[in-house]
Formats: sequence, C-alpha cells, structure tokens
Amino acid sequence: MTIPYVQSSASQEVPPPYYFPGVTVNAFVWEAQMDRISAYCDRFFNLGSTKERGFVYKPASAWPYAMLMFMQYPMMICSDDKENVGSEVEYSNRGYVSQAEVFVAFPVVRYGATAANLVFGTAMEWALPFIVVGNAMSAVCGREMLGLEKLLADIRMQEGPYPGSFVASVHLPGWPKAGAQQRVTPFLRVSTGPELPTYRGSPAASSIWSLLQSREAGWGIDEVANFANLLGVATAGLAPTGMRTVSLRQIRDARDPGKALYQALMSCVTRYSNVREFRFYNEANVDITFSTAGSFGDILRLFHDVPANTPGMKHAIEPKAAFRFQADIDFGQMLTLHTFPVDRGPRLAPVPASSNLAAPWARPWLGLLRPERR
Amino acid sequence: MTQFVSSFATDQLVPPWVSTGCLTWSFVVEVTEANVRNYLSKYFNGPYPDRAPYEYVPLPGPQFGLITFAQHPSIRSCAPGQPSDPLSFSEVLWTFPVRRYDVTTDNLLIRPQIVWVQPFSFCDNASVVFASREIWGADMAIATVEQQKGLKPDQLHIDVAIEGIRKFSPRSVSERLGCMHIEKRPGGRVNLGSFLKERPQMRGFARLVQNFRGRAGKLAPRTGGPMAAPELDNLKQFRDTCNMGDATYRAIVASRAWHTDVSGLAFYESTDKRKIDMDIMWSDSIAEMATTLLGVVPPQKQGLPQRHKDAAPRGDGDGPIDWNLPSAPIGVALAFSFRSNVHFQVIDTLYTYGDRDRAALRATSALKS
Repeated sequence: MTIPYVQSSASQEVPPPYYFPGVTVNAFVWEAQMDRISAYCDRFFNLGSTKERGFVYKPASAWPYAMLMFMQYPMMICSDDKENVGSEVEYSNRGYVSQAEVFVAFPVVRYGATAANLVFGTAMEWALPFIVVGNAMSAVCGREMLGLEKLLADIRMQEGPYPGSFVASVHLPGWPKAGAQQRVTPFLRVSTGPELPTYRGSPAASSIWSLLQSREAGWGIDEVANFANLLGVATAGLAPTGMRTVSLRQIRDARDPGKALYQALMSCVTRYSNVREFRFYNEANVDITFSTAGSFGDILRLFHDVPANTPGMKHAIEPKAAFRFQADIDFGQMLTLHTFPVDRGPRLAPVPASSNLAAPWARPWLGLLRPERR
Repeated sequence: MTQFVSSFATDQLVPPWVSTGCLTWSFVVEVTEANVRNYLSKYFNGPYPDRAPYEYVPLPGPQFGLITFAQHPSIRSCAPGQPSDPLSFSEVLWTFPVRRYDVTTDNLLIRPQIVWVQPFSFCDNASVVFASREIWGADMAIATVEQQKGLKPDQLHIDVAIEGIRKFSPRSVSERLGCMHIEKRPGGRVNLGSFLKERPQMRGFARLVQNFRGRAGKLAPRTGGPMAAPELDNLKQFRDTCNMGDATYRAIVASRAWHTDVSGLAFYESTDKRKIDMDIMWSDSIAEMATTLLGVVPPQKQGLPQRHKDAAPRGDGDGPIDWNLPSAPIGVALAFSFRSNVHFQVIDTLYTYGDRDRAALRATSALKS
C-alpha cells in the first residue's frame, strides 16, 4: 500500500540523498555526561517496553564524548537520480543551496534484546539532541522527512582575530523568561585561538594528544573525519567509515497535538571523503558558552547538566579537543529502523510495530540467509 | 492514544490559539475556474490510493479568493498543558472558498457545505511555520515579510521575499529573492453596499467574506447562521523518507478561524487613479504556483515595482534581497482592512488516506490467524 505524495515546485521537502562538496567542519569534543545521554535514549529511542521493541539504546561507554560541530556547506546538491513525481523540473536539476549548520552529537549503542538481535542488530549510531540550520528548506526537510529536531537559526562563522582561528555564534528564537515575548537572542558562542602550531605556546601534553593516544577516542574522531581517508583502507572496511545517525520521526495528531499518529526511528549516513586541511586548535584557548536563559536552558539540559543559577545565565563547557578539516560529504542511505506500535484512536486502525534492525555489517549476510522475496 | 514525545523543538504554536490585536489586510482577487478545479483535483479529489468520502468543487459563477496579509503582534497557545508564551509573526496567504460535498457509498453527493482552502502561505516565524505544517497541515513556507512603517492607516506596503532560485539549472544557486509586492496607496475608501450595486457578480463572495470576518465586537458563533466562522480544510502530508513519490501520512484536516472585537473595518476599491499594486516577482521557484493557482501570465520583460526602482534593496542582516526580477501584476477587485482578535482551532482530521487498506489488511491477518 503506497500513498502518493502531491508535489509542486514550491514543495519544501527536497528528498535525499545529497552531495556536499568542500564542507568546512569545526569540531569540539568534550566529556559527555552519561546519565544525560542515558535519559535522552530512554526518552526518544526506548519507547514502550524492551520486550516489545527487541532492542535498547544506551550510551557508548567506550567513547564517552560529545561533539559540537560547525559545518559550512558551500554547495548542497540533491543527488537523487530517481524520476520526478511532479511535472516540474527535477530537484537535482534546479540548482544548489549553501548553508551553515551546527549540531551536538554523541554516540549511542543499540543492543539487541533478543539473541538474534544481539548478534545482528547491535550497532553504534549517533544521536543529535541539538541541531540548527541557516536554511529554511533544510530545516523543514530535516524535521519532516528524517525526524531531526532542526531549528532555524542565525548562524555566523568566521576566522577570529588570530591566524587560522575560529569564531562562531548561534542566535535562536526563544523566550528569555516565562510569559515574555519570543525573540531572537544569542544561544551559543565559540571562539578559538590560532591553529596549531602556534606562537601562543604549545598545548598541554595531556590535552589533545592524550585524546588521540587513546585508541577509543581516536576511533571516534575517525568516525567523523575518516581520519585522513586511511581508516577504511587500513581496516578493509571493518571499521565504520561514516557517521550513522538515529532520530525519532513523529507525526502528531491535528486535533490533539499531544498524541502521536506515527513514531519511527530513522537512520541516515553521513559519509566523509577526501578529508583535507586537518588542523588542531589548542583546546586550552577554546571558549564554548551556552546561554541558559529561559527556554534555552531546556535545550542544554537535554544533553548536559546545568546548575540551577548559572552566573549571567551562561554555561561554559571545557573541550577535550578541537579541530578543523575540509571534506566532501555524501548524505543518504535512509532507513526506517523501527516503527513503534501506535494507537491512533478509536476511528483509525493502530499502526503495528515493524523492524529493520540489522546492523550495517550484517545486512549482506542476512540477505544471503533470508528466503527470496516473491 | 499514543503520547507524542515533545521537546524544545516541538514546543510550537499548538492549537487552539488566540491572536490579540491582529491587523488584517485582505485583497479580493479573481481567478479562473480552471485554477480552482485543477487545484482541488490535484490535492483533494484524487485516488491516494483511496478516495476521501468528500468531493470538492468550485463555487458556481466567478471565482474569487483572498490574498491576505496578517500581522499578529501577540499570539499564544491556549492548549492545556502546552507552553503558552507569546510570539509574533506576519504572514501572507492565498485562500478561496469552495463547495464540499459528502460522497455516499452510492457515489451520491450530499450535504453541500462551503469551506475555504489555503493552497499556500508565507510566514516570517519558523515556530509558526513548523506548527502550521506539522499540526494542521498548512502548506506554509518561511519568508521575509516586511511591512513599511510610518504609513497612514489606509496605506500598506508589504514586501515578501523567499529563499529561492531565479532560473532552475544545475549551476544555479539559491538566494534571497523578492517574491511578492503589495502596495495600497492612500484613499479609495468605498461603501461596500454601493460598490456591490455596480458589481453584482461579487455579491455572493462578499457575503462569504462577511462570514469570514465575523460580527464587529461580538463573538461569532462557531456553527450555523450567517455569521458562522468558516471551516478551513488543509491537506496534511509528509513525504516518505526513502521514496519521494510516496507519502508516509496524508490526511484532510479541518480547522476554523474566527474574529472577535473587530474594529476599524474599511473597504477600498482599486481604480485607475488609486490603483492597488500587487505584483508577483517572477522566478522559477514561484512560477508554477503563480500560474496554476493565481492564473498569472509570465511577464515578458523586467518590471521592477516603482517602489523598488527608487530604493536600494532592503535586508534584515542576512544579505540583500534581489528585487531585480520580472514582475507580473495581479488584479485586485476590492481590499479591506480591520483589527481583531483571531481565534483558531482544529476541528478534526476529516479523513486519513490509506487507513481503509490498513484496516482491511488487519482484518485479513486476523482471519488468517
């Protein structure tokens, strides 16, 4: 059963996959708070009972870090080669979009709760508790098609006062206090010193390189940057070479918006290639400050503890590593991992649960083992 | 029913909501019956894969609709348990009345009812856009909606700009493009009764508009009577992640908007001397919508609105807006403006597509088991 989608040239949802050449990435790594990640997993991924789901999401204890990523996309190209559904020009032939994006990501592990799922359905994915973009169509598309909780923001990125340094800010609409009018105010500010090596002194021996000397941490960075493109070759493809995200896609009821009509875990892959211009910042010279005023505190509390009365309604995070690189990015391989059973009310048939949980490495093998579809 | 998992990203303008002190300017525009019929066929009447038990048809006679600018200085949700902190926004939307019939199992069309449909809208607040699209299904796009300040009460100048593409091509880049320009100069106020005497073809539509705005100073009843708050039907759809031609969800959602504490109601005609300018700025991002919904003819030459010939392009800090585009005029038959409190609520989801098949599948599985 398929339900046709009615498209016009003004349709906001540009379908993946996409190709993003020449993306500049500034990344900041800090120690994640595992209890927050665990609570996030329970709230957004572990819906219903473990027995019903057949899996459970938990923090990745092997890589207990969170990443703040600033992405500058000079070209976002729709690389869909399928035939257009409407009569107008295909999305891939319309042109390209440029935008800035900022997100926080942390790794989570999906463990199978049954014997079969434990073997074939256990996988590491990345959760994105906070993501903002500068392009309206990107925000609409990410929210409606992938379930990413994208917000539209005013994102500014530029080189700072020092050579090769980085300064960025994110302004978001929010409510500074209860009952106040919504307005756009600063939410996040990041600044770095110059890139390493620097005339401002060497980094502490225990800082950046300690992270890289840790095999687990180094692997985590590889996951994002594919560490100079060698990882996939060196490990014959056994180690992950892309960043697979997981998000909860929901459709809410119109009459009772507190109820859901559809809930599913979606996954897509961001694959980095042609990584170049890899540079480190001295994390001792990095300032990351979040605003905790009013509704902004709710955003930060999703993935980080915020003291009740932060001075100046601001909260600083100390990074463990900071680096920058350029890469070409392929975004695609969308999957519906699991559709949760949903009771849509008395007049509609309930949505049954369905799963497609096989880990990426297991998919070819399961394809061999499963009977041929007729 | 299953609970929706909310977060800061979904704490939007949850209906029902109330907008206090809203300024509304509406412009009556005539389109062809083909424009209306084709839209209804494409969005409401087709097999998707099942047919909804409703048939939407154009009203008899000339087809009129409203291009409306609304500036909401303070709007807040009244939904229990939802954040009710206020926000503000401006929007420009195209809406027109149609007749909806219930379709019986014998394919008889019964119970005709006039409802309004809203093919497109532009709004400058992302929270409102997300709520409109994700809750009641309005096809709304984020835009810059600039209202010129310091004008007299009977004047209006609105510029709408979108993120769009001038000419579709793999090498084109998306940019901030002028999309719509509306200018109402001073004067031209008319008495509606006298105006309609000379234009009998507009009387039926004027009666509907009176329904739409409600009775001055009084709460319009929600059902029945000539002052009933009209029903607004939207197609709510979400594209499938993997197959771009499919929808994960598709439904017809009925909502209702009505006005109370109406004040300052005034009608204006567009004459040769006091012409009300309304222009579509032509780009490939807007062309299909302009031709299919409004019947606008593609312009043959650059036609920058007079206001923008003299003034440098304005911007709100995100870069200048490119107004150097061909412009296509839209004829305005009548305009009116008023201030009011606007009330909005979702009535119900009238029909969910695909559910008939899902229920049949479930029954078959139950029988087999």
